[in-house]
Amino acid sequence: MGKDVTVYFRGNVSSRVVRIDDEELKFTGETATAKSVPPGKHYLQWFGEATPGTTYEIGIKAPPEAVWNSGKRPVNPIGLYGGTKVFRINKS
Amino acid sequence: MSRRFIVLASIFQILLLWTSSATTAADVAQDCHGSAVCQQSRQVLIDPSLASVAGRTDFQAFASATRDDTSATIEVGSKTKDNAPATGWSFKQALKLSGPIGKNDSEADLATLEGLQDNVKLAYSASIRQHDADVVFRNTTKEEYNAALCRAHQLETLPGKSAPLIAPAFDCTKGELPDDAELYLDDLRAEGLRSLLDALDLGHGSFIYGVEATYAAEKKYDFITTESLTKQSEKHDGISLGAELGWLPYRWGIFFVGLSYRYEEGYKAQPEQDICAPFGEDLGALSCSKAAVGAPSKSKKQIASIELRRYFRGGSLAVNPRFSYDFENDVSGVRLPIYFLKDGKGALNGGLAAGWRSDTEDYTLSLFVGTMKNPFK
Repeated sequence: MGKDVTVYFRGNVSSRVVRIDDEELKFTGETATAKSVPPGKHYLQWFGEATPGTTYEIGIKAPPEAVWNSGKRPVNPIGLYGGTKVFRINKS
Repeated sequence: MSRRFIVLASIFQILLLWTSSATTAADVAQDCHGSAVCQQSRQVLIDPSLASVAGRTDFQAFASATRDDTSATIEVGSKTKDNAPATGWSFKQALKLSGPIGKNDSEADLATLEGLQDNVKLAYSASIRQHDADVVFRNTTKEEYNAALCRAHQLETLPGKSAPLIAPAFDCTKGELPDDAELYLDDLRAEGLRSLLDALDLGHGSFIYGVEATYAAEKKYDFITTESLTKQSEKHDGISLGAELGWLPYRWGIFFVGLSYRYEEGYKAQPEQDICAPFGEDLGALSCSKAAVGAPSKSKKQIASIELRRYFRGGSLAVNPRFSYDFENDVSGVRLPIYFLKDGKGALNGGLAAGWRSDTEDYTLSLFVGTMKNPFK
Protein backbone atom coordinates (compact mmCIF):
# COMPACT_ATOMS: atom_id res chain seq x y z
CA MET A 1 0.00 0.00 0.00
CA GLY A 2 1.64 3.22 -1.12
CA LYS A 3 1.29 6.74 0.09
CA ASP A 4 0.42 9.94 -1.74
CA VAL A 5 3.36 12.34 -1.73
CA THR A 6 2.79 16.03 -2.31
CA VAL A 7 5.67 18.09 -3.67
CA TYR A 8 5.66 21.85 -3.77
CA PHE A 9 7.89 24.20 -5.74
CA ARG A 10 8.12 27.95 -5.32
CA GLY A 11 10.12 30.11 -7.67
CA ASN A 12 9.67 32.10 -10.83
CA VAL A 13 11.75 29.95 -13.14
CA SER A 14 11.78 29.56 -16.91
CA SER A 15 11.76 25.77 -16.97
CA ARG A 16 11.06 23.21 -14.28
CA VAL A 17 11.15 19.44 -14.30
CA VAL A 18 10.49 17.65 -10.99
CA ARG A 19 10.21 13.91 -10.60
CA ILE A 20 10.06 11.19 -8.01
CA ASP A 21 12.38 8.45 -9.19
CA ASP A 22 11.68 8.34 -12.94
CA GLU A 23 8.12 9.67 -12.83
CA GLU A 24 7.77 13.34 -13.82
CA LEU A 25 5.29 15.25 -11.68
CA LYS A 26 2.54 17.37 -13.20
CA PHE A 27 2.13 20.60 -11.29
CA THR A 28 -1.01 22.56 -10.69
CA GLY A 29 0.27 25.87 -9.49
CA GLU A 30 2.86 25.24 -6.83
CA THR A 31 2.02 21.66 -5.99
CA ALA A 32 2.02 18.21 -7.53
CA THR A 33 1.04 14.86 -6.09
CA ALA A 34 2.59 11.47 -6.75
CA LYS A 35 -0.02 8.81 -6.05
CA SER A 36 0.65 5.64 -4.11
CA VAL A 37 4.40 5.90 -3.72
CA PRO A 38 5.42 2.47 -2.42
CA PRO A 39 7.32 1.98 0.86
CA GLY A 40 11.07 2.20 0.59
CA LYS A 41 13.80 4.56 -0.52
CA HIS A 42 13.02 7.17 -3.16
CA TYR A 43 14.64 10.11 -4.91
CA LEU A 44 13.08 13.52 -5.43
CA GLN A 45 14.94 15.07 -8.36
CA TRP A 46 14.59 18.48 -9.95
CA PHE A 47 16.30 20.50 -12.67
CA GLY A 48 15.69 23.61 -14.76
CA GLU A 49 16.74 27.02 -16.01
CA ALA A 50 16.24 30.35 -14.28
CA THR A 51 17.88 33.73 -14.06
CA PRO A 52 20.97 33.87 -11.84
CA GLY A 53 20.40 35.72 -8.61
CA THR A 54 16.88 34.42 -8.20
CA THR A 55 15.92 31.76 -5.68
CA TYR A 56 13.60 28.78 -5.51
CA GLU A 57 12.29 26.41 -2.84
CA ILE A 58 11.18 22.80 -3.08
CA GLY A 59 9.65 20.55 -0.46
CA ILE A 60 7.83 17.29 0.29
CA LYS A 61 4.65 16.85 2.32
CA ALA A 62 3.83 13.26 3.22
CA PRO A 63 3.65 13.24 7.00
CA PRO A 64 4.84 11.87 9.23
CA GLU A 65 7.96 10.43 7.65
CA ALA A 66 8.47 12.42 4.44
CA VAL A 67 8.39 16.04 5.49
CA TRP A 68 11.20 18.12 4.12
CA ASN A 69 11.99 21.39 2.41
CA SER A 70 15.10 22.79 0.84
CA GLY A 71 14.74 26.31 2.17
CA LYS A 72 15.40 29.13 -0.27
CA ARG A 73 18.08 28.05 -2.71
CA PRO A 74 20.00 30.31 -5.12
CA VAL A 75 20.01 29.68 -8.85
CA ASN A 76 23.50 28.89 -10.07
CA PRO A 77 25.43 31.78 -11.76
CA ILE A 78 25.14 29.98 -15.11
CA GLY A 79 21.35 29.98 -14.93
CA LEU A 80 20.72 26.37 -13.92
CA TYR A 81 19.35 24.88 -10.73
CA GLY A 82 18.68 21.35 -9.59
CA GLY A 83 19.26 18.65 -7.06
CA THR A 84 18.33 15.30 -5.65
CA LYS A 85 16.92 14.40 -2.22
CA VAL A 86 16.64 10.94 -0.73
CA PHE A 87 13.44 10.30 1.21
CA ARG A 88 11.82 7.21 2.62
CA ILE A 89 8.22 6.00 2.82
CA ASN A 90 7.54 3.58 5.64
CA LYS A 91 5.19 0.61 5.56
CA SER A 92 1.84 1.65 7.02
CA MET B 1 10.84 66.32 -34.10
CA SER B 2 14.07 67.41 -32.42
CA ARG B 3 16.35 64.95 -30.70
CA ARG B 4 16.16 66.93 -27.47
CA PHE B 5 12.40 66.52 -27.45
CA ILE B 6 12.74 62.81 -28.13
CA VAL B 7 15.07 62.33 -25.16
CA LEU B 8 12.79 64.34 -22.87
CA ALA B 9 9.74 62.42 -24.07
CA SER B 10 11.47 59.11 -23.48
CA ILE B 11 12.52 60.09 -19.96
CA PHE B 12 8.94 61.17 -19.23
CA GLN B 13 7.57 57.86 -20.49
CA ILE B 14 10.06 55.93 -18.35
CA LEU B 15 8.97 57.87 -15.28
CA LEU B 16 5.38 56.98 -16.09
CA LEU B 17 6.33 53.32 -16.43
CA TRP B 18 8.23 53.40 -13.15
CA THR B 19 5.11 54.78 -11.51
CA SER B 20 2.85 52.17 -13.06
CA SER B 21 5.28 49.44 -11.99
CA ALA B 22 5.04 50.58 -8.42
CA THR B 23 1.29 50.29 -8.47
CA THR B 24 1.54 46.62 -9.35
CA ALA B 25 3.49 45.70 -6.22
CA ALA B 26 0.39 44.34 -4.54
CA ASP B 27 -0.37 42.15 -7.54
CA VAL B 28 3.19 40.89 -7.53
CA ALA B 29 3.02 40.00 -3.87
CA GLN B 30 -0.26 38.19 -4.42
CA ASP B 31 1.03 36.24 -7.41
CA CYS B 32 4.20 35.29 -5.59
CA HIS B 33 2.57 34.45 -2.27
CA GLY B 34 4.71 37.03 -0.60
CA SER B 35 7.93 35.58 -1.93
CA ALA B 36 10.60 37.91 -3.25
CA VAL B 37 11.55 35.20 -5.69
CA CYS B 38 8.85 36.10 -8.14
CA GLN B 39 9.82 39.71 -8.14
CA GLN B 40 13.04 39.01 -9.91
CA SER B 41 13.64 38.32 -13.54
CA ARG B 42 13.09 34.72 -14.47
CA GLN B 43 13.99 33.88 -18.01
CA VAL B 44 17.39 33.27 -19.46
CA LEU B 45 16.32 33.96 -23.02
CA ILE B 46 13.64 36.59 -22.69
CA ASP B 47 13.55 38.73 -25.79
CA PRO B 48 11.33 41.76 -25.21
CA SER B 49 11.78 42.92 -28.80
CA LEU B 50 10.56 39.54 -30.10
CA ALA B 51 13.30 39.92 -32.70
CA SER B 52 15.39 36.87 -31.96
CA VAL B 53 15.02 33.14 -32.40
CA ALA B 54 15.79 32.78 -28.70
CA GLY B 55 12.38 33.78 -27.49
CA ARG B 56 9.68 32.39 -25.28
CA THR B 57 6.88 30.17 -26.45
CA ASP B 58 3.88 31.60 -24.68
CA PHE B 59 1.74 34.55 -25.70
CA GLN B 60 3.67 37.77 -25.82
CA ALA B 61 2.90 41.35 -26.74
CA PHE B 62 5.33 44.10 -27.52
CA ALA B 63 5.12 47.79 -28.34
CA SER B 64 7.85 50.21 -29.29
CA ALA B 65 8.04 53.90 -29.96
CA THR B 66 10.67 55.72 -31.95
CA ARG B 67 10.95 59.33 -32.92
CA ASP B 68 8.84 58.83 -36.04
CA ASP B 69 6.64 55.87 -35.44
CA THR B 70 5.24 53.28 -33.08
CA SER B 71 4.66 49.62 -33.75
CA ALA B 72 3.09 46.68 -31.98
CA THR B 73 3.75 42.95 -32.13
CA ILE B 74 2.00 39.91 -30.73
CA GLU B 75 3.38 36.41 -30.83
CA VAL B 76 2.04 33.02 -29.88
CA GLY B 77 3.95 29.79 -30.03
CA SER B 78 4.37 26.27 -28.83
CA LYS B 79 7.22 24.04 -27.82
CA THR B 80 7.49 20.27 -27.73
CA LYS B 81 7.83 18.93 -24.22
CA ASP B 82 7.15 15.25 -24.61
CA ASN B 83 8.42 12.67 -27.07
CA ALA B 84 11.69 14.57 -27.43
CA PRO B 85 14.42 12.54 -29.08
CA ALA B 86 17.14 11.15 -26.86
CA THR B 87 19.59 13.69 -28.24
CA GLY B 88 18.02 16.44 -26.14
CA TRP B 89 16.48 18.36 -29.07
CA SER B 90 13.32 20.37 -28.68
CA PHE B 91 11.18 22.02 -31.35
CA LYS B 92 9.51 25.40 -31.13
CA GLN B 93 7.26 27.23 -33.56
CA ALA B 94 5.57 30.59 -33.42
CA LEU B 95 3.28 32.93 -35.31
CA LYS B 96 3.97 36.62 -35.03
CA LEU B 97 1.68 39.42 -36.16
CA SER B 98 2.98 42.96 -36.20
CA GLY B 99 2.13 46.31 -37.62
CA PRO B 100 2.64 50.03 -37.32
CA ILE B 101 0.55 52.22 -35.05
CA GLY B 102 0.09 55.87 -35.83
CA LYS B 103 2.20 57.54 -38.46
CA ASN B 104 3.16 55.77 -41.63
CA ASP B 105 6.71 56.99 -41.77
CA SER B 106 9.12 54.40 -43.07
CA GLU B 107 11.94 55.11 -40.63
CA ALA B 108 10.45 53.24 -37.68
CA ASP B 109 13.46 51.23 -36.67
CA LEU B 110 16.53 52.65 -38.27
CA ALA B 111 19.29 50.69 -36.62
CA THR B 112 18.07 47.19 -37.47
CA LEU B 113 18.02 48.06 -41.19
CA GLU B 114 14.66 46.36 -41.53
CA GLY B 115 12.80 47.55 -44.60
CA LEU B 116 9.30 46.13 -44.13
CA GLN B 117 8.49 47.70 -40.80
CA ASP B 118 5.63 49.90 -41.97
CA ASN B 119 3.62 46.98 -43.36
CA VAL B 120 1.30 44.71 -41.43
CA LYS B 121 3.29 41.49 -41.26
CA LEU B 122 2.61 37.86 -40.48
CA ALA B 123 5.63 35.72 -39.70
CA TYR B 124 6.06 32.01 -39.06
CA SER B 125 9.17 30.86 -37.29
CA ALA B 126 10.45 27.45 -36.32
CA SER B 127 13.50 26.51 -34.33
CA ILE B 128 15.14 23.51 -32.81
CA ARG B 129 17.20 23.64 -29.67
CA GLN B 130 20.03 21.22 -29.16
CA HIS B 131 20.88 20.28 -25.57
CA ASP B 132 17.77 21.95 -24.20
CA ALA B 133 18.35 21.73 -20.44
CA ASP B 134 14.97 20.39 -19.41
CA VAL B 135 14.79 17.97 -22.35
CA VAL B 136 18.26 16.69 -21.46
CA PHE B 137 17.09 16.12 -17.89
CA ARG B 138 13.96 14.29 -19.05
CA ASN B 139 16.20 11.94 -20.99
CA THR B 140 18.48 11.32 -18.00
CA THR B 141 17.56 8.42 -15.76
CA LYS B 142 17.33 8.63 -12.00
CA GLU B 143 20.58 6.68 -11.69
CA GLU B 144 22.45 8.82 -14.26
CA TYR B 145 21.43 12.07 -12.54
CA ASN B 146 22.34 10.73 -9.11
CA ALA B 147 25.70 9.52 -10.41
CA ALA B 148 26.46 12.90 -12.02
CA LEU B 149 25.59 14.87 -8.87
CA CYS B 150 27.43 12.32 -6.72
CA ARG B 151 30.66 12.56 -8.70
CA ALA B 152 30.47 16.36 -8.86
CA HIS B 153 30.10 16.55 -5.07
CA GLN B 154 33.09 14.28 -4.59
CA LEU B 155 35.23 16.86 -6.38
CA GLU B 156 34.37 19.86 -4.23
CA THR B 157 34.39 20.75 -0.56
CA LEU B 158 31.64 23.27 0.06
CA PRO B 159 32.33 26.45 2.00
CA GLY B 160 32.09 25.81 5.74
CA LYS B 161 32.61 22.06 5.33
CA SER B 162 35.77 20.14 6.11
CA ALA B 163 35.24 17.43 3.51
CA PRO B 164 33.21 16.79 0.34
CA LEU B 165 29.55 15.94 0.96
CA ILE B 166 30.13 12.61 -0.76
CA ALA B 167 33.21 10.78 0.47
CA PRO B 168 35.77 10.18 -2.29
CA ALA B 169 35.66 6.44 -1.56
CA PHE B 170 31.89 6.24 -2.19
CA ASP B 171 30.97 4.40 -5.40
CA CYS B 172 28.86 6.82 -7.43
CA THR B 173 28.63 4.66 -10.53
CA LYS B 174 25.61 2.68 -9.33
CA GLY B 175 23.42 5.77 -9.13
CA GLU B 176 22.47 5.06 -5.52
CA LEU B 177 23.02 7.68 -2.81
CA PRO B 178 23.38 7.49 0.98
CA ASP B 179 20.10 7.59 2.91
CA ASP B 180 20.61 11.16 4.13
CA ALA B 181 21.82 12.55 0.80
CA GLU B 182 20.65 16.02 -0.22
CA LEU B 183 22.70 17.28 -3.17
CA TYR B 184 22.24 20.58 -4.98
CA LEU B 185 23.51 21.67 -8.35
CA ASP B 186 23.42 25.21 -7.01
CA ASP B 187 26.18 24.43 -4.49
CA LEU B 188 28.67 23.49 -7.18
CA ARG B 189 31.38 25.72 -8.56
CA ALA B 190 34.21 25.28 -11.07
CA GLU B 191 35.36 21.65 -11.12
CA GLY B 192 32.21 20.05 -9.78
CA LEU B 193 29.99 22.08 -12.10
CA ARG B 194 32.10 21.22 -15.15
CA SER B 195 31.89 17.55 -14.21
CA LEU B 196 28.11 17.73 -13.88
CA LEU B 197 27.60 19.61 -17.16
CA ASP B 198 29.77 17.13 -19.03
CA ALA B 199 27.95 14.19 -17.49
CA LEU B 200 24.58 15.65 -18.53
CA ASP B 201 25.84 16.44 -22.05
CA LEU B 202 25.54 20.17 -21.42
CA GLY B 203 29.27 20.90 -21.41
CA HIS B 204 29.20 22.70 -24.75
CA GLY B 205 26.10 24.69 -23.94
CA SER B 206 22.80 24.80 -25.78
CA PHE B 207 22.44 25.62 -29.50
CA ILE B 208 19.41 27.05 -31.27
CA TYR B 209 18.83 26.83 -35.04
CA GLY B 210 15.91 28.74 -36.47
CA VAL B 211 14.22 29.86 -39.68
CA GLU B 212 11.59 32.53 -40.23
CA ALA B 213 9.38 33.46 -43.18
CA THR B 214 7.48 36.73 -43.22
CA TYR B 215 4.75 38.01 -45.49
CA ALA B 216 4.20 41.74 -45.45
CA ALA B 217 0.64 42.56 -46.49
CA GLU B 218 -0.11 44.84 -49.39
CA LYS B 219 0.35 48.49 -48.66
CA LYS B 220 -0.97 51.38 -50.68
CA TYR B 221 1.59 53.90 -51.88
CA ASP B 222 0.23 57.32 -52.94
CA PHE B 223 2.50 59.42 -55.08
CA ILE B 224 2.61 62.10 -57.76
CA THR B 225 4.05 61.23 -61.13
CA THR B 226 7.15 63.10 -62.15
CA GLU B 227 5.91 63.60 -65.73
CA SER B 228 2.43 65.03 -65.29
CA LEU B 229 2.30 65.70 -61.51
CA THR B 230 -0.94 63.71 -61.31
CA LYS B 231 -1.91 61.68 -58.29
CA GLN B 232 -1.55 57.91 -58.56
CA SER B 233 -1.32 54.96 -56.23
CA GLU B 234 0.11 51.46 -56.32
CA LYS B 235 -0.18 48.48 -53.98
CA HIS B 236 2.75 46.25 -53.16
CA ASP B 237 3.46 43.46 -50.71
CA GLY B 238 6.78 42.11 -49.46
CA ILE B 239 8.52 39.03 -48.13
CA SER B 240 11.49 38.13 -46.02
CA LEU B 241 13.23 34.84 -45.32
CA GLY B 242 15.72 34.39 -42.54
CA ALA B 243 17.89 31.87 -40.74
CA GLU B 244 19.39 32.15 -37.26
CA LEU B 245 21.91 30.39 -35.06
CA GLY B 246 22.12 30.92 -31.31
CA TRP B 247 24.44 29.64 -28.61
CA LEU B 248 23.91 29.66 -24.85
CA PRO B 249 27.23 28.58 -23.31
CA TYR B 250 26.24 27.56 -19.80
CA ARG B 251 29.82 27.15 -18.71
CA TRP B 252 30.71 30.81 -19.15
CA GLY B 253 27.91 32.42 -17.25
CA ILE B 254 24.65 33.75 -18.41
CA PHE B 255 24.92 35.26 -21.85
CA PHE B 256 23.72 34.46 -25.35
CA VAL B 257 25.25 34.85 -28.80
CA GLY B 258 23.14 34.92 -31.95
CA LEU B 259 23.92 35.12 -35.69
CA SER B 260 21.29 35.70 -38.32
CA TYR B 261 20.85 36.25 -42.05
CA ARG B 262 17.73 37.70 -43.64
CA TYR B 263 16.70 38.33 -47.24
CA GLU B 264 14.04 40.97 -47.79
CA GLU B 265 12.14 42.05 -50.85
CA GLY B 266 9.69 44.92 -50.72
CA TYR B 267 8.97 48.45 -51.86
CA LYS B 268 9.99 51.80 -50.53
CA ALA B 269 8.15 55.08 -51.04
CA GLN B 270 10.04 57.99 -52.57
CA PRO B 271 10.88 60.85 -50.19
CA GLU B 272 8.11 63.38 -49.70
CA GLN B 273 8.50 66.84 -51.19
CA ASP B 274 6.51 70.05 -51.03
CA ILE B 275 4.28 70.29 -54.10
CA CYS B 276 2.74 73.70 -54.78
CA ALA B 277 0.00 74.71 -57.20
CA PRO B 278 -1.73 78.06 -57.99
CA PHE B 279 -4.53 78.83 -55.53
CA GLY B 280 -7.54 81.06 -56.07
CA GLU B 281 -7.66 83.98 -58.42
CA ASP B 282 -4.93 85.99 -56.79
CA LEU B 283 -1.80 86.01 -58.81
CA GLY B 284 1.07 84.43 -56.96
CA ALA B 285 -1.07 82.60 -54.36
CA LEU B 286 0.00 78.98 -53.93
CA SER B 287 -1.43 75.95 -52.16
CA CYS B 288 1.25 73.51 -51.03
CA SER B 289 1.18 69.98 -49.67
CA LYS B 290 3.66 67.18 -49.09
CA ALA B 291 3.65 64.20 -51.43
CA ALA B 292 5.94 61.46 -52.63
CA VAL B 293 7.18 62.25 -56.10
CA GLY B 294 7.60 59.20 -58.28
CA ALA B 295 6.48 55.58 -57.99
CA PRO B 296 7.78 53.49 -55.09
CA SER B 297 11.02 51.69 -55.83
CA LYS B 298 11.69 48.01 -55.37
CA SER B 299 13.94 47.33 -52.41
CA LYS B 300 16.10 44.28 -51.76
CA LYS B 301 18.17 43.67 -48.66
CA GLN B 302 20.49 40.95 -47.46
CA ILE B 303 21.09 41.59 -43.78
CA ALA B 304 23.50 39.71 -41.55
CA SER B 305 23.38 40.39 -37.81
CA ILE B 306 25.20 39.40 -34.68
CA GLU B 307 23.73 39.92 -31.22
CA LEU B 308 24.89 39.40 -27.67
CA ARG B 309 22.65 39.20 -24.65
CA ARG B 310 24.03 39.59 -21.17
CA TYR B 311 22.35 39.81 -17.78
CA PHE B 312 23.78 41.78 -14.86
CA ARG B 313 23.02 42.31 -11.18
CA GLY B 314 21.11 39.11 -10.70
CA GLY B 315 18.83 39.69 -13.64
CA SER B 316 17.79 43.25 -12.79
CA LEU B 317 19.61 44.69 -15.82
CA ALA B 318 20.43 43.33 -19.27
CA VAL B 319 22.00 44.54 -22.49
CA ASN B 320 21.40 43.17 -25.97
CA PRO B 321 23.75 44.87 -28.49
CA ARG B 322 23.11 43.99 -32.14
CA PHE B 323 25.22 44.83 -35.20
CA SER B 324 23.65 44.49 -38.64
CA TYR B 325 25.09 44.80 -42.15
CA ASP B 326 23.15 45.01 -45.41
CA PHE B 327 25.28 43.45 -48.16
CA GLU B 328 22.93 44.60 -50.91
CA ASN B 329 23.18 48.29 -50.04
CA ASP B 330 26.46 48.42 -48.08
CA VAL B 331 24.80 49.83 -44.97
CA SER B 332 25.56 48.94 -41.36
CA GLY B 333 23.58 49.58 -38.20
CA VAL B 334 24.10 49.26 -34.46
CA ARG B 335 21.38 48.94 -31.86
CA LEU B 336 21.94 48.82 -28.11
CA PRO B 337 18.85 48.03 -26.04
CA ILE B 338 19.21 48.27 -22.28
CA TYR B 339 16.54 46.39 -20.35
CA PHE B 340 15.71 47.64 -16.88
CA LEU B 341 11.90 47.73 -16.74
CA LYS B 342 10.10 44.69 -15.40
CA ASP B 343 6.62 43.33 -15.83
CA GLY B 344 4.23 42.57 -12.98
CA LYS B 345 5.99 39.29 -12.25
CA GLY B 346 9.47 40.72 -12.18
CA ALA B 347 10.68 39.70 -15.65
CA LEU B 348 12.65 42.25 -17.65
CA ASN B 349 10.51 43.44 -20.54
CA GLY B 350 11.43 46.98 -21.45
CA GLY B 351 13.88 49.82 -21.43
CA LEU B 352 15.72 52.15 -23.74
CA ALA B 353 17.44 51.41 -27.04
CA ALA B 354 20.02 53.57 -28.77
CA GLY B 355 20.68 53.08 -32.48
CA TRP B 356 22.82 54.32 -35.36
CA ARG B 357 23.10 53.54 -39.08
CA SER B 358 25.93 54.31 -41.45
CA ASP B 359 24.16 55.62 -44.55
CA THR B 360 22.36 58.50 -42.86
CA GLU B 361 24.70 58.67 -39.85
CA ASP B 362 21.51 59.19 -37.88
CA TYR B 363 21.10 58.34 -34.19
CA THR B 364 17.89 57.10 -32.60
CA LEU B 365 16.71 56.67 -29.06
CA SER B 366 13.63 54.54 -28.53
CA LEU B 367 11.57 53.28 -25.66
CA PHE B 368 10.20 49.77 -25.69
CA VAL B 369 7.91 47.90 -23.35
CA GLY B 370 5.99 44.64 -23.51
CA THR B 371 3.48 42.88 -21.33
CA MET B 372 4.90 39.34 -21.58
CA LYS B 373 1.90 37.92 -19.74
CA ASN B 374 0.30 34.68 -20.75
CA PRO B 375 -3.48 35.14 -20.83
CA PHE B 376 -4.07 31.38 -21.20
CA LYS B 377 -2.64 30.48 -17.80
